[in-house]
Parts: sequence; C-alpha cells; structure tokens
Amino acid sequence: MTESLARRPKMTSQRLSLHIAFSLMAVGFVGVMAASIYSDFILLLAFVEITSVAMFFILILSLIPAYFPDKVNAESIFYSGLAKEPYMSDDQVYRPNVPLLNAGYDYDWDLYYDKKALKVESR
Amino acid sequence: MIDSSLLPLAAPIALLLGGMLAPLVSKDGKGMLSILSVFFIAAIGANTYMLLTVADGAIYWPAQAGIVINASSAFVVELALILGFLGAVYSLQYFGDRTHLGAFYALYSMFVASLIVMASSFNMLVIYTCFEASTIAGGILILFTRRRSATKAAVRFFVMSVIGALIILVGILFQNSATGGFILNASAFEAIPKSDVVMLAAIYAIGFSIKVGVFPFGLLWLPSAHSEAPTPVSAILSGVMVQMAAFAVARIVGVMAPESAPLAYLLIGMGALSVIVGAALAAVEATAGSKWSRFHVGTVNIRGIKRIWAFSTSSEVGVFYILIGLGILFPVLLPVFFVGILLHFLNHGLAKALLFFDSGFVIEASRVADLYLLKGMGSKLGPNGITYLVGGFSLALIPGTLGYTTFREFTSPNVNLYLTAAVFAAAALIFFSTIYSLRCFASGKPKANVEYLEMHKGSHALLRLPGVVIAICILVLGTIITLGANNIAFHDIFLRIEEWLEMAATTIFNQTAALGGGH
Repeated sequence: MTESLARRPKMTSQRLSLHIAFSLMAVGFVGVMAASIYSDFILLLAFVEITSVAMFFILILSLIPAYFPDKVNAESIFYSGLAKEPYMSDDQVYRPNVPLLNAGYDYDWDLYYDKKALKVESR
Repeated sequence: MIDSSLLPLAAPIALLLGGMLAPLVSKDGKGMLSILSVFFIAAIGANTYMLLTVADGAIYWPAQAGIVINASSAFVVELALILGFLGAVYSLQYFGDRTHLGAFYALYSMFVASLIVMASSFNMLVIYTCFEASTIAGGILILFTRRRSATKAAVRFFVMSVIGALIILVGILFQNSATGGFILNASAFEAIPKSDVVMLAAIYAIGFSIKVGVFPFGLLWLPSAHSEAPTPVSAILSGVMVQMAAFAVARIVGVMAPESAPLAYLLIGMGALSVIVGAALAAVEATAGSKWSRFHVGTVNIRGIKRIWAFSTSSEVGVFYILIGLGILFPVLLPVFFVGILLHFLNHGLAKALLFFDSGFVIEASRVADLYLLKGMGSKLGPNGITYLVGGFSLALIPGTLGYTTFREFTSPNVNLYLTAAVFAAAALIFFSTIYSLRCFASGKPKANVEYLEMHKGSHALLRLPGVVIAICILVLGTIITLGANNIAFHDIFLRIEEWLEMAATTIFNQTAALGGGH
C-alpha cells in the first residue's frame, strides 16, 4: 500500500477532467465573489453556473462511483464471458483508491482499531 | 467609524498563501508546519488588531457589500483562527505516519479561510460562495482518514450540503427578485411585504439548518462526518463550521427581523429537539454503542469515541436555533439572546474542539477508536484526563467553566421554563457521557480479547498540547465570568466583557453598532 501511495499518479482522462473541473470551480468561486461585489448580475449567474456544474461533475465523477462501485461477477468471466465485458481491466483488479486523493484505502483501521498494533479475538 | 481598508483581506489571504506555499517550499512535515504557522500567526495578529480597534465600527473591503469586519465578525473569526492554528499543529503528529500532509494543509487552510470569510460578510452571495467552498474543502478533508467508511460519510456530507446550498440559492434568487439585491440590509427588507420577509427567513433558516446540523437534518450526516474525519478536521467541523453556519442564520434573521410566531416556534422546536435527541444519542453511544444510537457508516457496530462528541454537537447547535427563535418571538430582547449566541459560540467552540483533540489523542495513543476494545490507558492519560473533564464540564454548564455563560442565559427570566429544562437535561446527559467515557479511557475493560502486538512508539506531545491550551482558556475565562457575575471577584472585568458583548451582539445584524440596534 505504501508503494501505491508513493508512486506518481498516472494522468488518465478521468484525472485530467477532474483537474479541469477543479480549475473551473476555482475560477467560478473567484468570479462569483468579484461579480457579487461589483453587482454584475449577468456575470454572476454565469459564474454560479460554472461553479455548480463543476461541483456536480466532481460529485458524479469521483464520489458516486466510489460509493456504488461496479461489481464484477468473476464466475461470469470464467464461463467464457457471460459478463458484458469478458475481461477485467487493471483498474478493476487493483484495489480502488480513495476518491479525489488518489491514495489507497487504509484497511488497517476498517474495524476501528489498528490491525498492525492489536490482535482482537471474539469481538 | 466605518473605514475601507485591506486589513479584512489579511487573514483569508494569509491562510490561502500559507496553505499553498507550505507544501511547495518544504517536503518535510515540520518545515510545512513552520511555514503554515507563520501565516496563521500573521492572520491571528491582523484579526486581533481589528478585534481590539474596530470597537463599534466596521472595516470593509472593497465595498460594504464585500468583506466586512465588525466586532462580532472579528470575535468569531478570532476563535476560528486560534482553533485552526491548534488543529494545524495537532495535524503534524496526527499525520506523522501517513502521507499527503501537504495536500491536507492546503485544503485545511482553504477550509478555515472560507469559514472566516463566511462570517465576515453581509452579502448573501459571498456567504453562499464560502458555504460552497467550505463544503468542497471539508468534504475532501473527511476523506483523509482513508477509510471506506469515511468515503460514505463524505458522500453524505456532500449530498446534504448541496441540498442545503440549493435551498439557499432559491432564497438568494427570491431575495434578489424581492429587494433587487443580495445585501443583508434592514432597510431593503422593510420595503417588501412582511409575508415575503417571513418566507425568505424560513427558506434561509431551513437551508442553513442542514449545514448547522440541527434536528432532523443533522443526524443524516453530522455523526458520521464528524466522527469519520481526521481528528483536527473533526475539531474544526464541530467547533467552527457548524457554528459559522448558525452565525449566518443569526445574522440573516437579525437583519430581516421577520415577525412570525410560527417561524419562531419552528426554529425553537427544531432547536429543542436537537438539544434533547443529540444529548440522548451521545449517552446511548457512550454506553450501548452504534447498534442503538444508529446513524453509523462503518461495517461493524462500535462505541465510537468520537461519535459521542459528534452526537453532542448535534445537541449543542440546537441552542443556537432556540436563541434565534426566541429572538424572533421577542424582538425587543433580540440583542440579549444574541449575546447568548456569541457566548455559546465561544463555549461550544472551545469545549468541543478540546474534546475532539483529546479523544483523538486517546485513539492515536491506544490505536483503538472503539470503547468496546479500549483497554484503559491509566496514568498514560496524563493531564489530558483533566482537560477532557474540563471540556465535558464546560458543555455540562458547570459553574467555573465557560459553560456558566449558557447556564446564566437559560436561567434568566427571559427563557421559558420548558426550554430551560430541556437544556439542563441535555447538560446532565453530557455530564454523564463525559464521566462514563473518561472512565473507559482510564480503566476500560474490553468486551473482546485484546492483545497488543506492538505499542505505538511515536511522540504524542503535539496531540496533548491543544487540549491543555484550550482547557486553560476555558478555566480562566470561566472563572472570571463565574466570579464576576456573582460579584465575588473580577467584577470590573466582567462588566467590561458584558458591555463589549452587548455591543458586539448588535453587530451580528448591523454592520456597525453605532447605527443602532434596528429593533
């Protein structure tokens, strides 16, 4: 897991679009502040729109797939590709990352204690 | 005095710059903290200067529709900056064996900056923008524990905050169509029908109530988000963020002055239910665990150490809604209730941050976040056993702590006896939860066979420090106020504090106190 944290993230199309969405959101925030201070209503609505679209994009792109991950039926793959795609990509085989941080999950604390430090029996 | 100056920009700019520069200039945790500390201290220095010099006036930039620092804003910003700084110091050892400290500091600074700007404006669009910025930064910060349950908690936080933001956006559009602007200005609302003012105040109060975390909306996201977040973030979420949202509601309602008993009863009802339900669930969590308290996102039932204080936050924010509702019901007494809001802001902010910092210290030192599995730490608890008690006692409204301020507010003849009973019942439940959880910290008996494979070797000095600093503040201020209010000692200091707070309370809903109360 430490290795996966240390490696430099690959710039995939999803990551690129995430960066663009974050940049647009930042521009939107600054724009909303400026337009509201100078009372330009049309510009203001435009910036609010940009910010909202960027936020929803981030929400849908990153968080919802993390919350409802794709489940691949391994047996279907085994039986000559009864699943929609008869293969698994590297991303599906690899453990999922924390959305937005591109870091691996810390499975040591899954049960609310540090598995490395404690041995718990008959909980 | 109302002056234009660049000073109101100093704190947010310093935080944003510090957050960006720290990870760029240094790759080492201590180096990052040193750089960030310089900017935090600069921000605190600038705000302290404004707090001491602004008196009953205001300082704005670039216009009165932009960022405005008056007495009440400077007061709440000061608390946010101090807790933010303590959280940044705490984070160094908290993230000691984890990565991403640089990204954490950048987002954390942005989070605190967005919250302080939110409290420093009378422009609904600036407040809304900062509300959204704090949602984005806060939501991502929750993910830094890198637990799968934290992702679920972050999604709940995002979704609920976005729903709240959409309701507020509807209010903003309605306000613009009714008054022709976005500025919170009493004269603009006097010119529109009373029914529109009531409707607008109700929309804003409901929209913000999701972020404040009052009953029933808070239970959907607050216990999970505040307990799953990294401890320094939990401290800021509970000690600052929900309070800043409540401060925004107080400002909006104070400016609009809606004359509506049903709206007042709605807010008082939501507040009173929050107070009782939150405190009861905190006690249930401490004794019976998440199987009975519910609202848990983990895969196993626990007696979550931080969940106790997350439920308690859901209880404490109810006090704000009760005071705001009472302010609507009795407009003449609005400044009195708003003094209560400022004092509760201080008491709850300090006490809750302390309790989260100390809970986090116990979790890091024992490597357990579940009271079911916690073997007592005994004497290793050290001074933090006492500081934890101080925090719990302050929330339990014990005289000698800052909680005495809320005790005075709810024993005054201005408050209905049933509301007093609700707040004191909640205080008793929090008192019980504090003692019960502290007993587990000191001498817990796990329900399972727990064997330590290795003890956590890292130093915990910085995890202990914020709790000690905050406990001293609570005790010093609490002693001065308790003795001063009862004419035993420090009476002059108490009178000066009271006079300043009365002036500051009027600046929650006026840009300057010099313009008068408006009610």
